[in-house]
Amino acid sequence: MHPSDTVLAAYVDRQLAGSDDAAVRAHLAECAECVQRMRQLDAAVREADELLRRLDHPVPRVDVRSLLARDRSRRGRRVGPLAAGIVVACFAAAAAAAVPSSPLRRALERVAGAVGGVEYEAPASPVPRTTPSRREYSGGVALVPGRELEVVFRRPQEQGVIHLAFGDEAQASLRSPDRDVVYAIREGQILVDNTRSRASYELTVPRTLHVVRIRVGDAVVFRKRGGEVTGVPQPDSTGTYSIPLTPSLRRTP
Amino acid sequence: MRRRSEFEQLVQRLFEEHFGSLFRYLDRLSGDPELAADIAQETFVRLCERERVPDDPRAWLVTVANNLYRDDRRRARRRSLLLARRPGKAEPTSAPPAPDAALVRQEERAMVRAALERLHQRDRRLLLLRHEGFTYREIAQVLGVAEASVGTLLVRATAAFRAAFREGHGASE
Repeated sequence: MHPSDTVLAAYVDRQLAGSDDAAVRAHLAECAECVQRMRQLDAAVREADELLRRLDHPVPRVDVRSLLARDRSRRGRRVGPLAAGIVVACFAAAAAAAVPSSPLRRALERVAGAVGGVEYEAPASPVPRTTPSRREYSGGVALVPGRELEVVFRRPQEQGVIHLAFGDEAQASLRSPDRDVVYAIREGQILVDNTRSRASYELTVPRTLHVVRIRVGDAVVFRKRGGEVTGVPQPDSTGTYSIPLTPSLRRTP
Repeated sequence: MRRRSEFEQLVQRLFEEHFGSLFRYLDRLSGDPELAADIAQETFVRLCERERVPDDPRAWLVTVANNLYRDDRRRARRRSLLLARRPGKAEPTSAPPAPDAALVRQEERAMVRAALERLHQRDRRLLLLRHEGFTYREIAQVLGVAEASVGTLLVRATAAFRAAFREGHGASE
């Protein structure tokens, strides 16, 4: 019986199991017609292979140690916030248990009673607020603008803030920890598709720019022209403006 | 600590064995060598994050790479929509024209790419995986098809690819 094209193709690709491969080879030794079919299939694969090679570019030189270092760096950044989170959770739990009628305290008292009357003492200090010492950024964009820059966020967000700072570098950069945010650059514009994002963003802009404008949807939420800034409260002590991305924005004139 | 160090040595070995092939697969799939390099490297960083080598490393690597490529394509589509929504100044123009031999090579590459793009996405990946030496079992695992059907699918995909190339090549002459 003649093998099908599928079996012959698998034979050409050396994908047949030992006994099947031997059976096809035995058949080909006696069947010129199937040898011809096999050669056609083989020629087709070789032609496809030769065509695909025309697409190739040189393989880049990459030092695997740089990838291992990148992984170590990411793990270090994840442990920092994780450890901070655990500390916050412990203090929060302790504070909750300190409240006389709190469910957590009652649960702890039940456990204490079960293990033989261990006293639980509330901490003396208030619950500390913990901010991450380092932020992990998943994406961002940078460009060297001309005299003007407009940053446009596609829509308001349920939460999130733009932290805007003016710097001495020639390039403007925008970044956030949200991997799903998409950026596009045009001359003088950064466009941000922040659909479904709840992240905050860090925007750094050259202080020498004459005009800087930030839009969220259709609302202009920040405008700087020369030395005059409109649309937001005063910057903090580091000179950073915090511009909310939430819907209750007022249009600036 | 010692276990981590042994794991990193395994990663290094897998990198030496598979990075070139993974890059080539992604380069052929995307037509963008820089993107291919980024995704190939990110795939190995993800391998490091696992902290243990998967049972079938090569299939795992290409599955992760396929997912990263898919995510990149989604972002690229969103980026196109974003640019289309807001009219603005035109993008800066591209590189200067190439010399003759390079131009011929570019044209050949464009014709092969066009032929590949005419295939169904699954058939495109089938072909590229086969030409990177993946077994039928690995191809079935990566693409989520029955191993018994891989041979038939490959015969059809190869025929479709050659036909698409001849059609495009004939049309350009």
